[in-house]
Amino acid sequence: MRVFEFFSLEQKLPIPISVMAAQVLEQGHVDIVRYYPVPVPNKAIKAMLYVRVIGANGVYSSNGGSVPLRVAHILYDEALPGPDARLAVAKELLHICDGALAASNTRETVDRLIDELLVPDELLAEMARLQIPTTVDKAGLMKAAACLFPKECRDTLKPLYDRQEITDDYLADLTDLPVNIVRLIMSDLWDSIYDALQDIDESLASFDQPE
Amino acid sequence: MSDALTRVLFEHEERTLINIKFLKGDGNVSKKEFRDTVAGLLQGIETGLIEGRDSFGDENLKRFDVRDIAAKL
Repeated sequence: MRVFEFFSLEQKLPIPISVMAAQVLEQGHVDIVRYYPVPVPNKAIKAMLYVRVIGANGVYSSNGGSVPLRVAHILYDEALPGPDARLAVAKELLHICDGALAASNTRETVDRLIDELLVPDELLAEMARLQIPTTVDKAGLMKAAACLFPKECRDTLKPLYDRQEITDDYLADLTDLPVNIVRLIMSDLWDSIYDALQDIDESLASFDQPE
Repeated sequence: MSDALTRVLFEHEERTLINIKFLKGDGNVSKKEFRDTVAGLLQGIETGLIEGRDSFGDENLKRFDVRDIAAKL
């Protein structure tokens, strides 16, 4: 079962990053995940995923054998508040499952990803077309939010929220997510955003199916 | 001529890049500053100057079933 699909049915909150990491590892894309809370100069990034193979060219392998070791490094700004750090790390964890179409692993895709990330959001709409790895990167935060506040949980709590029996702050505590993200997820707009995320997830998965 | 980021990502024969992604920060940085910052962080990881850990550290989070919450309210 894909990670996005798995968490849609979850009924317990909050979702620990360790639970998400276990699901990601189960997909078999990497062997190890390492976490790096660090000071980030100039606030250039909030988080970053860096996945690489050691020993891919047969030079050596640090796991002591001839099998290349696939390591995912997730680095995040140690200055981020806890809920923001969780969301940022969840986004990067989910990218571990990116298929070939969405991955940035050539000089050209990495250069273009950085160029497109540095374009202000208000100008993005005017750009003709983002490459698929950038589109997937930008949708990643919403996908992470959808996993950390699963649809099943949200739908169970929505009637209480609509009757104002629970507040944004209460849900931010319960989910351990930023309050602006909780507000978006509890809005009526979220249903269509969620459907779009699901479509993207299914489409990308279908590209990675062996023929 | 390749910059520091290109060198750390693509010019090391013992490593092959599978994927790299970013969540941009709030800083207003130029492309060169962004690339140099990322390159510095990656070099820190590869040389061991930046120490990582095996978990995010939230294994013991207390969790609540939303069906119980809904039933109580």
